[in-house]
Amino acid sequence: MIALPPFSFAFQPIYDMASGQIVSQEALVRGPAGESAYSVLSQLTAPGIYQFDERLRAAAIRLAAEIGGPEALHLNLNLMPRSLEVSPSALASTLETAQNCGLSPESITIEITESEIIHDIEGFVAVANEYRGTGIQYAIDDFGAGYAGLYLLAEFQPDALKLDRQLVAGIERDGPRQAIVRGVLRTCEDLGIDVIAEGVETEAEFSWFRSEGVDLFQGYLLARPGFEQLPGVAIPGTSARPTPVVAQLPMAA
Amino acid sequence: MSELMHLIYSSAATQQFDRDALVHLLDRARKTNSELNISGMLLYIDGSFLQVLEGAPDQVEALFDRISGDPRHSTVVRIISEPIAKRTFSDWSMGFAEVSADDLNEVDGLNDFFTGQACFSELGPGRTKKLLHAFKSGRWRSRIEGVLPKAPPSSASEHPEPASPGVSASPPPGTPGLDALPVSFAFQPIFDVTSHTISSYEAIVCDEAGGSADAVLSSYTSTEQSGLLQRELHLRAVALAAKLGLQTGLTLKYAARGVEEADQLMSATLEIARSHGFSNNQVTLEIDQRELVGDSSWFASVIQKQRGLGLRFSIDHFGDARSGLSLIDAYQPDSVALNKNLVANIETHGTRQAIVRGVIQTCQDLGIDLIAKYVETEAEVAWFRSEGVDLFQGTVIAPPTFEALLPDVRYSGPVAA
Ligand SMILES: Cc1cc2nc3c(=O)[nH]c(=O)nc-3n(C[C@H](O)[C@H](O)[C@H](O)COP(=O)(O)O)c2cc1C
Repeated sequence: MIALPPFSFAFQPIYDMASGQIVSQEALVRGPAGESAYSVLSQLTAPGIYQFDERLRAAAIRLAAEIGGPEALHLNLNLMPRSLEVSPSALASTLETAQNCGLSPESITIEITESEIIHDIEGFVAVANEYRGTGIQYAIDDFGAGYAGLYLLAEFQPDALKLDRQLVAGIERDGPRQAIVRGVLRTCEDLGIDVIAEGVETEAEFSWFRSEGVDLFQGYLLARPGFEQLPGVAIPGTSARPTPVVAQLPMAA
Repeated sequence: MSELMHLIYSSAATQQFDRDALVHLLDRARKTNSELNISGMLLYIDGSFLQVLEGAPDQVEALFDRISGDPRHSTVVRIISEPIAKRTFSDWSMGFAEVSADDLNEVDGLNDFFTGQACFSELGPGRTKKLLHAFKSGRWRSRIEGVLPKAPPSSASEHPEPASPGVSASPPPGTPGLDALPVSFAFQPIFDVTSHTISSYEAIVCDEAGGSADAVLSSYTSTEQSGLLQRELHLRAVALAAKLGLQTGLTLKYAARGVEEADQLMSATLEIARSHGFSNNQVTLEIDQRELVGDSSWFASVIQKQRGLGLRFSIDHFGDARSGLSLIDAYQPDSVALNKNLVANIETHGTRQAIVRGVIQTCQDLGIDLIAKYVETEAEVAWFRSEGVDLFQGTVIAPPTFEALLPDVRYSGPVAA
């Protein structure tokens, strides 16, 4: 057994303007005292990292359930590159932990980056669809950054996709990015896929996405990741301030 | 693990569906579906259907096959089929927009999803609900009018035009050896249906008999050789096009992967074209998007510069396995040609349709032409027409012709979108 570095988590909410609720909290790995994700992950090398990945998800579920209680909890959990390939049971064990903590599969969303999926698309789609029957959901992370984008959606339609920060930054004054995002929104609307604007940092970015009908947001503007807590959100344009610790989490699905 | 799937499709009615016809359909469906343990719903608005089928995969697929063959509708487009954890509909229901809620109350099992709202808002969240929402706001409605061409006018007539005079300014020949390369070209039109004109011909390299050039070219693989080869091919293609009297645009493939002298190579091509009497803006370099992956900011800047000098650029195979939306941002080409995997049988593939609609939207917003390339059937062309795409290239419009410019193409469909 490989010695694993100590770690903990921060959580960052995903907020739905349409329902006025936090629909999920994304678990972000941190050092034991809140150090960066890099400080933890850089200590790991190839075979160990996949084992670690599974344990990370399990630990994130336990921590979140402990802080917020399982009742209204929904979690977005990351899946590291090549995890499913190396360990096809990765999702089963995550779901088992969830169940032990009182969480149903419907309250788990697995986030995968597009470059990860494209690496072995057939294998990925097979495993992902196998677990879809449980009710688990999928989100494609960093959409638009890599080379996979469109082709990927032809082969696999996630429940949600998170626009890459590169597409979001300064979008209010970047025509090509706006055009690209409008295209993505169009495609997603037609396919019933939610679009999450991730990494939203300014009111101008937020307003642009609102004007295009985007409801789901994650980013510093609404809430910074909270170390070992489930933060509330500050809704732009209102005086609402984040409550430091939110024990009660309204959930979407 | 549950063995459940849902399948959602849209289609266009081929006949009037009044209330009686729908009730008749529903009666039948209700009976069969409950026997098969299939739940779901059917919506009808303005000649368009959207149906959700939920149940065991085998049963759902078999029923979908049967429904697809029903002559009362056509253009059946599968939008989603995937495993689900639980049913969205406990039962079988059906709704439509035109009939009043009172009418519907009389008929057991009919709900008005749109005006009554009750049912719609009671649906659990999920993709089904989102799709119904999209349908409600006008998506997935059938928009295809007539199908296109009736008669193929084109006999592959070779019409020898006067060769362009004095190619005296012919640039120095390529490397020794390359000038004896046994290749020639076929030309395939890119057709603009709005103006009913050929906007460009793509030069496609072949061997000297018009067959595949793969064998001939396979020995030129090193980076250095591919640059020289590229130059030679452009030289030959331009010369032949000039000889054939080409008046339209000329589209040349650019496939000198990783060649550092891309800038000089492109300048040379422009120079060759000018020396044959072609004007600025007449030449389009078509770049395989596979050339564009990786760190290619230097290549992007070469392209920007060359565009400033008058060359036009197109990205080919857009949407294949390594396609990035970021390419559009980085290169801002004059046109984009869709990859074959997005075009093939698009009239029945909801996912492809959704993706292509997104690309069309992006291109429109940026003033980039979208070329429906690789179209092989009239149904594919009709679908792209219905989405407002004007430019087509493919065998169904016109095949490549060896050392000849096809004077006209097979298209007699609707002209204005
Ligand atoms: C838009 C549309 C939806 C239909 N939905 C169903 C359905 O859900 N279940 C069903 O049994 N038949 C449905 N039908 C009718 C079938 O196509 C077919 O007529 C019926 O299953 C009888 O098939 P059979 O003649 O092979 O026995 C539908 C037809 C149309 C045009």
